[in-house]
Amino acid sequence: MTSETEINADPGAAENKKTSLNKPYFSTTDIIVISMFGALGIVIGILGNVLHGVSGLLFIGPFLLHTLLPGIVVFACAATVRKAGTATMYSLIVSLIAMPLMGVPLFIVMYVVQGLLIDGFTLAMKDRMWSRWGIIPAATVYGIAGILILYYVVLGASGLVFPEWVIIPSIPLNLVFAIPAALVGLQIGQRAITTLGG
Amino acid sequence: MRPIFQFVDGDTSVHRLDPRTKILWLGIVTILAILIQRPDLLLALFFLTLVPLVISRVPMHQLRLILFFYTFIFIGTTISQGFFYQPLTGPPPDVLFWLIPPDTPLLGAFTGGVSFTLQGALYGFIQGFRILSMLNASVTLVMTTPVNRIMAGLRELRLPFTFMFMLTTAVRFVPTIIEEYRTIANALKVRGVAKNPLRLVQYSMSPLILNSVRRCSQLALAAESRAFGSLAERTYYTSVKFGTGDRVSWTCIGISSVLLVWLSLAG
Repeated sequence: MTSETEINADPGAAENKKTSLNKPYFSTTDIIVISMFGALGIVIGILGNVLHGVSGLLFIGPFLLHTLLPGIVVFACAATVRKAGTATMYSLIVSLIAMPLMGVPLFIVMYVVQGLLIDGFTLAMKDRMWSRWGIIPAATVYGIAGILILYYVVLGASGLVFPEWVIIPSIPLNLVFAIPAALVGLQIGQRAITTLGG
Repeated sequence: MRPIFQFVDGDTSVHRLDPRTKILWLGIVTILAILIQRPDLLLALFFLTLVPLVISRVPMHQLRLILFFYTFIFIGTTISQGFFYQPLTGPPPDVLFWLIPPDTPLLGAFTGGVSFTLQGALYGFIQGFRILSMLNASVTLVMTTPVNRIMAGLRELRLPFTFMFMLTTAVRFVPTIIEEYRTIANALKVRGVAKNPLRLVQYSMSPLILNSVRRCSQLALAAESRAFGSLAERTYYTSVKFGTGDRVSWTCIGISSVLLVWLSLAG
């Protein structure tokens, strides 16, 4: 949970690097932090599906309720724990509980793929990921994958078809929500690290 | 804020089933709903998924809620596909009215015209049964199984202990998070900071997460002081086991699934 930058800034923190908190596997605190974010994700997942379900055809629904709010939480979770596997574990917790509870099990695919993609970025970019410019590529892929999976997998497998002119403009519109979500998530994650450290 | 579909206590044969049977049912219905293309078989799947729901004697207020959701799903799928459905082969669908005529400047050229078609609406209505079949299976699981038994079922499916612990802790945290949100929202309202619901969410998200994270350190300490993860073998308060009802259910699920897949493949 301690970044390289912080370790370099604080010589005492280098010692901490040897403790379980900085091992690649999850410490007890990591596990509980992911669970707590999972709980928040469950609440937002349920809320999102209720509001989106009731709003029916509200065009803004998928972007606000399936990208912005879940995006803030998933990126805040990943930015707090900062270990590969965090986003996938979070996504599994949220999707396995919230999505069947709302009768939309197909959304599990969307959550898991998005989690895997964020973890892919965490692995590939290491500590560079936890900066404003580092998190934007992950948010971009998160946003694009979200829309493609929503239209082609979740709605596609439900038998609902949409023309290209609906899907293509949805991608930049979804990014308008995904990138701020990631930036807010990163900011919350940085504050959460301070809170945990204190 | 609470889930729409909640556990309803009862003593029906569906309530007594092992949660694994109901989880399997949800998984199989999801797969069948994706695989089946024929409208008559989708209808058959929908009625098949209604059977356990009817046996579990859903109370009237929950039934009203389910019907409310059914209506919205049918309206949503019918309207969206009425506008967006385009058959890959065959004659063009019958246009009932144009939302954006093809000769509209800019939008008409971009979309090629948006019309509400009869075939599209019918197609959407039928696809509603696909979504509702999955919804029925989910509702059966949620309304007839308390969360601790769903967890026990998942545990018996040999999911890793750490993951199960995370799932249980997350479920345990949900009411705490909701309570915390209410406190923050009330504080913001009193201070007149957020009259707009969007602003309310924006301002409450950060303190909500940070307060919860603060609580995590204490919980982690408590878990470690109780030797979290030190024992390979564990005992549990809630246990689940297979009974005659489960064997009968598995047989019925197996036969109906094979039959539906076979009919679907037979065209």
